[in-house]
Amino acid sequence: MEKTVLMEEMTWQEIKKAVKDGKDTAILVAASIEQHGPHLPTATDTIIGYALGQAVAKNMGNALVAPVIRPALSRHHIDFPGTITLRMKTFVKVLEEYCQSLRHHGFKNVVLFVSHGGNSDALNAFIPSIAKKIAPDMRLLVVYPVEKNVKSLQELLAERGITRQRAGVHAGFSETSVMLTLRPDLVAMDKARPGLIDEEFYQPENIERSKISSFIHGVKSQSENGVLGDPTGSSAELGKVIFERKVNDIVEEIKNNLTA
Amino acid sequence: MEEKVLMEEMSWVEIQEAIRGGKTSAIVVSGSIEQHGPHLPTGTDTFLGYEIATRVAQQLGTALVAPVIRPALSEHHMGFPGSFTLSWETYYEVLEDHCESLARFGFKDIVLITSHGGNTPVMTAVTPDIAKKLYGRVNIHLVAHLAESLEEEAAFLQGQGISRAKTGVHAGYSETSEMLVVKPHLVKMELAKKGLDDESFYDPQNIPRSQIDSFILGVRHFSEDGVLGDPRGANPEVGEKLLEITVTGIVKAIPNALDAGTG
Repeated sequence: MEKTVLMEEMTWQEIKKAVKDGKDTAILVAASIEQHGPHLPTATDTIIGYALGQAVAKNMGNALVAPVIRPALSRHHIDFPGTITLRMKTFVKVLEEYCQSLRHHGFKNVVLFVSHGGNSDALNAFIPSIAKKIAPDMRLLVVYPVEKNVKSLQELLAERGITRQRAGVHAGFSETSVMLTLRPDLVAMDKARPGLIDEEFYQPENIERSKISSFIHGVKSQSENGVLGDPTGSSAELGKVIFERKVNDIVEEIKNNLTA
Repeated sequence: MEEKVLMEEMSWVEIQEAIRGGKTSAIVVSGSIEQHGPHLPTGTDTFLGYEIATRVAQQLGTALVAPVIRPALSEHHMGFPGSFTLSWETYYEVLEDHCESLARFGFKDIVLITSHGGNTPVMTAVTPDIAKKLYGRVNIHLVAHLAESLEEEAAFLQGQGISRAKTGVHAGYSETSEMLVVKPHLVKMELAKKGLDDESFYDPQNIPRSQIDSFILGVRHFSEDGVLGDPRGANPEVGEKLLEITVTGIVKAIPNALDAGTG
């Protein structure tokens, strides 16, 4: 059996030895518990977060994965049952206390990324103050989606005839396809229906404005079923490609930044 | 197949239908991420929390289970790598935010339980405060003091020749036996070693004092390996029986708590 990289599956002595032997980077993923349409479970971002964390850690070879942070920031999904959200100040405290716990045990680096876009703005705003508190013992690196990679993924989907509004940003074709590779047992394709498919909403020049509108007015005001995109016809095969691209992008970013 | 009760495995539509169909209670478990000796994983309390809450909800037939809260309060285990802790203030906010979110779904009741004894004092202290804030929207009940079940477990184990010191309170015979039922592939029996086996530490009348001493001095002060008890000889048959006693105890306590109105 392959050795686990999930700290929660390891004993304290295994973790101690791993850190001592050079696995001194901790992967921290900020996910969510929130509605993902009528066809995906509320833990979707958490499931994807664990899978990304494990794949990235195995690829790096010198990292362990902390328990995925969830719930996190999902106020904009709160009109749908099943969504659990933290207040922003609570989320920031949780994040800081994770980092303090990891520092206490001798980790040298924390690599932080999100599997839920709703967490990103708070990370941008508050990470510097957390990083300052844990320095110089520990370095905190936030990995952002790189624009050229996002673009190349969109191009790949476009080649397969998947438009931006179908790929979607929440429980659409992209996310549903990824879930079909990770946890097909939790995907109810018979219940998958299009949500918001207004082309304008997903245009690159509008996407920031669309996101802010979600935050202010709630996703329910944009989509009755909670889907932003169109999951019909989702494909496990494309999901695997999307997932692997994400893993590679994250690993590449980490390598560029940690050696800098 | 058993009915789905874990909200994180359900869609929002399924959750809404389940609540409208009579599953009007939410169970919120506080677990932990903390060391559990050389033989058990740091997620032990979280894995047990999911198992216990799932069984309770399935037996009640009127409840759904929220994602287990973890990390929680494990300052006393921070002497061991792999333990994560929240400050009590943050834990309090996290617990409150869970309840505040759940209050919007249409649940009538929220039942708070714990699979980690280190959470109990703070839960006991802050639950009335949370219940008061959400009064009129949802009723909050704490079901964390199960003296009867604990005595039933102790009597059962004594009948098997297992002393309180061997049973233990952390990663000992009883918790290890439960993990052999729930996550056997994560239990390393070949590494299971005796921890603190001082009888007086586990004497029921000394337990509150022992717990406070652990909080103040840290568990490492009492046990180099992080084991309070003796896991050797743990087995899934005993684990299953202990889980049944715990689950039955909670299932019995919940209607009483709901009747009392305040838990």
